[in-house]
Amino acid sequence: MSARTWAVVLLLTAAYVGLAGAAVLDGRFLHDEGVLTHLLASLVGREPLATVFLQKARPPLAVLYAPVAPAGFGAFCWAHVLVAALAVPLVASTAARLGHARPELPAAVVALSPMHVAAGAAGLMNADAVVGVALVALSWSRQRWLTTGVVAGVLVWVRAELAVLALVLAVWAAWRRRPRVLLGLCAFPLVYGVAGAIYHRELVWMLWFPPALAAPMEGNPFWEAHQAQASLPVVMAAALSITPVVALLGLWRASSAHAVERAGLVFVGLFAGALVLLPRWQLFNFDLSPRYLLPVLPFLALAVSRVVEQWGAEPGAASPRRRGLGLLAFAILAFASERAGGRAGALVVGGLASLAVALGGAGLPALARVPLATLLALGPVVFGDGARIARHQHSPTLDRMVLRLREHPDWAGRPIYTNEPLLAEMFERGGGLPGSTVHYLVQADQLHELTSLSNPNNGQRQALLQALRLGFYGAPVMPDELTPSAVPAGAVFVLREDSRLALVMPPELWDPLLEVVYPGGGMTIALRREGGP
Amino acid sequence: MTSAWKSPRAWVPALVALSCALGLLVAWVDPVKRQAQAQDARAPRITDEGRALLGGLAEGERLMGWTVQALDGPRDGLLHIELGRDQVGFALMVATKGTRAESAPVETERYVIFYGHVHPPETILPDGTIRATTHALARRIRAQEATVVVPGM
Repeated sequence: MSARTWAVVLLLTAAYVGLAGAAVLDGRFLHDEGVLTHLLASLVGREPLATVFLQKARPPLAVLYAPVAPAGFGAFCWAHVLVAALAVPLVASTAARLGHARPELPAAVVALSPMHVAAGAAGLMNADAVVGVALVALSWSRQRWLTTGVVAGVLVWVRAELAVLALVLAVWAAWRRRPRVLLGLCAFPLVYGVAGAIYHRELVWMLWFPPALAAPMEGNPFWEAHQAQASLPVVMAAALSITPVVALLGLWRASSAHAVERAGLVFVGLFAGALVLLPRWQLFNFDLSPRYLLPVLPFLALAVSRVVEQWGAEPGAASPRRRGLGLLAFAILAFASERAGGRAGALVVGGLASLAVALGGAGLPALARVPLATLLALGPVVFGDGARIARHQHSPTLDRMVLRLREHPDWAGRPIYTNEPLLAEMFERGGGLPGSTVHYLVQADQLHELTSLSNPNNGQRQALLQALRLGFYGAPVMPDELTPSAVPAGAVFVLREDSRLALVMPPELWDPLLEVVYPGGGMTIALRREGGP
Repeated sequence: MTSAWKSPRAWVPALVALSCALGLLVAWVDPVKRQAQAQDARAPRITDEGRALLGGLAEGERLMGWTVQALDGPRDGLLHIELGRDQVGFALMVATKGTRAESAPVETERYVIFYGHVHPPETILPDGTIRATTHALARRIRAQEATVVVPGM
């Protein structure tokens, strides 16, 4: 890459850090999964072996962030933003290696991805997965076969769904006879598996204690009534939040792309298909969170870059038919999505993308970049909600809880019991009542997951439960510990509506003991009455 | 410049851009919200007192992970709360104690709460869901029933 291109890429990386950093400061993407990532990294310091050999802990990430974890959630978030920002130069380097004319374009797609910005700021593992996939793409393009395999193998323990990438890579390696890739793919599972076998004293420990439950906990009201079916508006909003220039994808031609990019788009197709179907079958606890789709970003950015290279008027550029069909397909989906209740923004995206391609086809490449740049720049501002990572989306009652608690300075110092995983973090940020300890009501399915995925025979389960005592969304209260006699009169219950709550607070036991102060929509604030058992 | 637009590589995508603009026009002239408002006009209604008894519950709010899709009543002495999620729906009904023969899963001091109208018809609602939603509703009613009187119940 030229010095000028590097300068642009560095500027884009800085832009990413700026956008995500601003979000870290104002907490708009505060997310319980991000708090969990930090918690798992903290556990490495408290119980190193028990955590590293708990597959659910995403060991590679837990170890990566362990040094910064003791400095607190805020410091962790900043470290996470910096790691997530690495995806920008990695994708640019890959593009340069694969012969893209303007490597800064895919870098811009990554840097200005609304979902990547949100996931980076929130501390979500999905942003780390983007960096991992970008690293695989770079080493693949540089023909570092062993490294490619090793990184792809490790990624399965970062996000289990990235097994799809490992599978695509394995098939490609077998077809192209690249045994070093296959060797690399097996390296981490082998080393980790053998070390784990010594720790667990169990040869097939990976199967007995997998990274995720194969099926949801029995009797869990959330999953029992869960019939997830992706609707078009949700999928469209998710796609636009990954990047609005996804509208150009229909123009992509396999013949103009490198073999790595072709395999990458096969991964994108299989990955998206699997994540839309898995929730229907309730496999591996997948729901319809759009953020699961984020790891497609690096290969999507490379594909869009190829499209832009081919949208000119010169011979060999994309044919009028391909332009028409590719753009029309998106326009039809955008219109259908709007009619189904989605936002009209998808039509604006389709219009701007088509305008850019038209200007390119008219031989006006400089003008064509204007609508393209507009789309990219608007992304983080307009399309972020499609990621459904924002605090106001997944915890809509959190701010109201804090507001109501602040109205009662007389409650300061009283213990607070809550099932809202972000309340303790809001208190840390100075939003709560002084002197009050936030006790987090560990939900039955959370405990079930931890106990099912850890080994009781070698002390791992006990060690982890002990380590969690030091902090788990606040001071944890295990389901069997939440008894009326253990809760003092006057204690404040701040409860978000959650169908699982009845499993740890049976209403027939607790309702007579609680005086509801705020029955509000979506949440209840109540005080423990005097008396009772 | 003009001749450049004669190339189908330029005017074909330009036509798609125009189609998108047309789609936006349709969205502006006939917004989906307006269709929803038309449906609202035919939608069931709940009286102010009925809503107050339910702690100000409103359509679109979440009750234990279920979305309140409609509120109605009192009708035949009942308040109806329709809940839905992921294409599954059911209704909670509130009646004054002593007015119904059937036994209710949850009672407050003055009211009883039933459930039913599950759809699709073959759906079996898990016990946890019924328990959680009926008790959440009961909590709301208990906070209001001493002060709110609902005519027609």
